[in-house]
Amino acid sequence: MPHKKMSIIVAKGGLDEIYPAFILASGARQSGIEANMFFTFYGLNAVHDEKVDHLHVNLAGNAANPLPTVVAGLPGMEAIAAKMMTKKMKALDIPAPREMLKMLDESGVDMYACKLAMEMFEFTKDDLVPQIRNVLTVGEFYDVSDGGQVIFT
Amino acid sequence: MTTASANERLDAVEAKLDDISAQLQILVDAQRPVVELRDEVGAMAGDVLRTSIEQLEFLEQRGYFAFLRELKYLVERVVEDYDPGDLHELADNAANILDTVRGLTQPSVMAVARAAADTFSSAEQRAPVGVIGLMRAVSGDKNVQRGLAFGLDLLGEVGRAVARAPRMSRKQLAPVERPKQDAKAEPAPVRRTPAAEIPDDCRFLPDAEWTPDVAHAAASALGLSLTDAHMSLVKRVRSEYLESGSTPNIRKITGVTGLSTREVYALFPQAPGKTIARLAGVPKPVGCL
Repeated sequence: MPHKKMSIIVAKGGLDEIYPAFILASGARQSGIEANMFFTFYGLNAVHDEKVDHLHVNLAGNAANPLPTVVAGLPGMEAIAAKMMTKKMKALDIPAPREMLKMLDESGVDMYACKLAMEMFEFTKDDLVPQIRNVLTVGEFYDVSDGGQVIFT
Repeated sequence: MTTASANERLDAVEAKLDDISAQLQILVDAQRPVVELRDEVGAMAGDVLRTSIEQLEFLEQRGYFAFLRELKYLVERVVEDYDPGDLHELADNAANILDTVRGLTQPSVMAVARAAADTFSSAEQRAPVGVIGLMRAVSGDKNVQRGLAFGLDLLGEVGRAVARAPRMSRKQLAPVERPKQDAKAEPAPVRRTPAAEIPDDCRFLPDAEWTPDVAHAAASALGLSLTDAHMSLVKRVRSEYLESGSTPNIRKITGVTGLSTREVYALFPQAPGKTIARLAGVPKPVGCL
């Protein structure tokens, strides 16, 4: 294996935007690769204790979404889409985000939050899920990811 | 040769010479008026030439030649930028163009153009008009409404003309040549990243070949020593495979054994799914979780 360490930056908080990162991290651990995750900006929603169970699917401005943008922008559409996607994932036995975070943590993925984004959103570490090990500055993130590959999702 | 016949021939030659002499005289006579003409013309030509030069000088002073030189530049541009086909098309359209020009120069049309030009010339004196002003003019001013009606008609006509018009001919681009290829020859291979090698020992071993000792041997090759907890998990995965025909992934393992993900990773820290499959003598698990 050419790369023994992956560090995945999650900067967006839609269901469709966090799952690829989750799967990449879990797949890395299953392949014996060290994995870190770094949540920043709206990616923090995926690790916020009150928000993680209410993540939505990004519909408006999404060219791959079959709904017209005008319809996708209507109130409630993203919640409906999120419900549909969650149902589909449940049928495929894909864990919900909170369970996924627990699974990633147990399989040895180290998860961190971005200090600057935390300050911007006025979050404290207590607001986040317990799987977040630490709140890092970018410099500290580079220390953590040193020697591996960094993926920005 | 007889003397008589020689005389006959001499007579013939003499007659011929007379003929030629007569023709020469005619030519000389004909030459005379030409000479006279030259003398007369010479006198006149001097005047003509002088007058012409004066005329040309006058034209030069008036700037006609500067204009013609510029016209030459224009013609060169036309020659460079348009090919004979374009000129043929232009000739085909000449009647259309003339009709259009005639239509445009009718007095009523010119009056409208004149009015528009007058409006332009006093444009800077006008106060800017916003959306409200636009609405007011459109809803209140009969003349603006009439102009709007005309504008809409014009737009409609333009639209119809666009729909009718054939597509503009574009200069043909040189076609890109396809690389010549022998129909029988194999296509050139596409460069690919070599597929990850699947380890030979990660394949299904039937019961006749698999014993716990095989698992222990494979484990020590990986630097692991197997406890009972390891062995029971390996056996459970093997029996799951034998039952269902597919190797459980970690999520399935935790589901059927009741172990947590943490416990599975504690037992097999490096790539648990694959390691367990290798020790259990079953294929690698498929799936992403």
